[in-house]
Amino acid sequence: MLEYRSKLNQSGFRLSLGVATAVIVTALVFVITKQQRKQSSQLILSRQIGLLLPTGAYENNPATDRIQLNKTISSSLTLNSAYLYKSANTVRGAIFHVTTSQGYSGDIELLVALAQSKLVHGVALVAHTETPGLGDKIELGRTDWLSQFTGLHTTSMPPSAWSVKKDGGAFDQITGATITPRAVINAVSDTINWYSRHPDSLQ
Amino acid sequence: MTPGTPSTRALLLAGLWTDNPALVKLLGLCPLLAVSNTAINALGLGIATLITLVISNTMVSVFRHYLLPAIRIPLYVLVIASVVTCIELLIQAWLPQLHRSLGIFLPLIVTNCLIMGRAEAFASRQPVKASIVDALAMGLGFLVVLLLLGMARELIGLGSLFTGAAQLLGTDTSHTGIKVFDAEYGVLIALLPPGAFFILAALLVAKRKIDR
Repeated sequence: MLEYRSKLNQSGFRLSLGVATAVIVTALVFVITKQQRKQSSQLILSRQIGLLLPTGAYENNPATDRIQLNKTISSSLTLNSAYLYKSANTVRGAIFHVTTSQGYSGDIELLVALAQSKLVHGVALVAHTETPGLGDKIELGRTDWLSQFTGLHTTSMPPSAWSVKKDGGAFDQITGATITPRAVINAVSDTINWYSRHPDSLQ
Repeated sequence: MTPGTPSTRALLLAGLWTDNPALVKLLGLCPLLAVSNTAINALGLGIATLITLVISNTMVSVFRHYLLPAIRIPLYVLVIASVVTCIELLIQAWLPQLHRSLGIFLPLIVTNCLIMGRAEAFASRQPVKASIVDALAMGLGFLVVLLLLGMARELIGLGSLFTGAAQLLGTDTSHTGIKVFDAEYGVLIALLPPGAFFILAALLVAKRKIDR
């Protein structure tokens, strides 16, 4: 009995020691990488913004010119924040970071770059959990589906055009994925509508 | 070398063929079937699994005299989970592009019983060097099968190979990979979960035919 007890104590002690070591190591790595992780995500973001906007269209650093919005503008779309781009000290447009809950298997996060002149500079994907091989074709590395939005003039498009061709709209569909393209198109269209109704909200 | 430790050659042969974790032991089927729908996804998970397996086998082997029988399983889980978490944090900090493509696979590795299996069956009773060789062999064996499965599923389902290579290489330019035929003529079921079982079954049959 005594022997059993001392062994159990030993096991318990060793397990606690192991857990404590693991916690300390993981916490250390977390703290050490914190600054670098923040920098890296900022870098990714400003690189994405740089890809969305034409060179020379802005003079500030949009990645740091951020407005927190947190506006839910429809049952499925939230505008998280906007990154302003300016030239000659006036706002020329904004890159909206939006989240739509219409995805097939969870939220889809997008960056939508809009000029005040009602031009869509482009749309980029931030995060999604769509089906690999089907819904994930919206990723630019897989197909160029997302580049359809680039250079659209929203004034020249009737509201009915904002859907896939199968539904009578202007955008290509994705074989095997119906819901994902619909979610992205709705998100972009809703963002554009909100910005055209509130053009001065981002000054 | 202590008696009872298999030679490097025997370990490599076991991992890659006679005791292949995916084709013979059928270990780690959950990630194997879930993430093998394209060749690039398969390659990403395969590499991440290989790295984790080598580190966890090394750690378990180094501390093998410390692991009392009653607490060894929780300690394996602890080691594997901490290793995966630290790798994820480090990749996120210094290789952000890679993290964007591998990010979803990394947490999956914790659930791969192949890693725990090797910790229990090999690393906990063998010296460090042999444990590292074993991890490399088993990890490579897993990676090869995963890649074959991914290539077969992508070819049949999408008519292409290595689409989205840019995701893994971390370049921003879009890279379309090799196109064999138009995606419209692909057999969709190969991309869906049942297709993974069918093709894995075909690989198992092929291996048994060769062995005979």
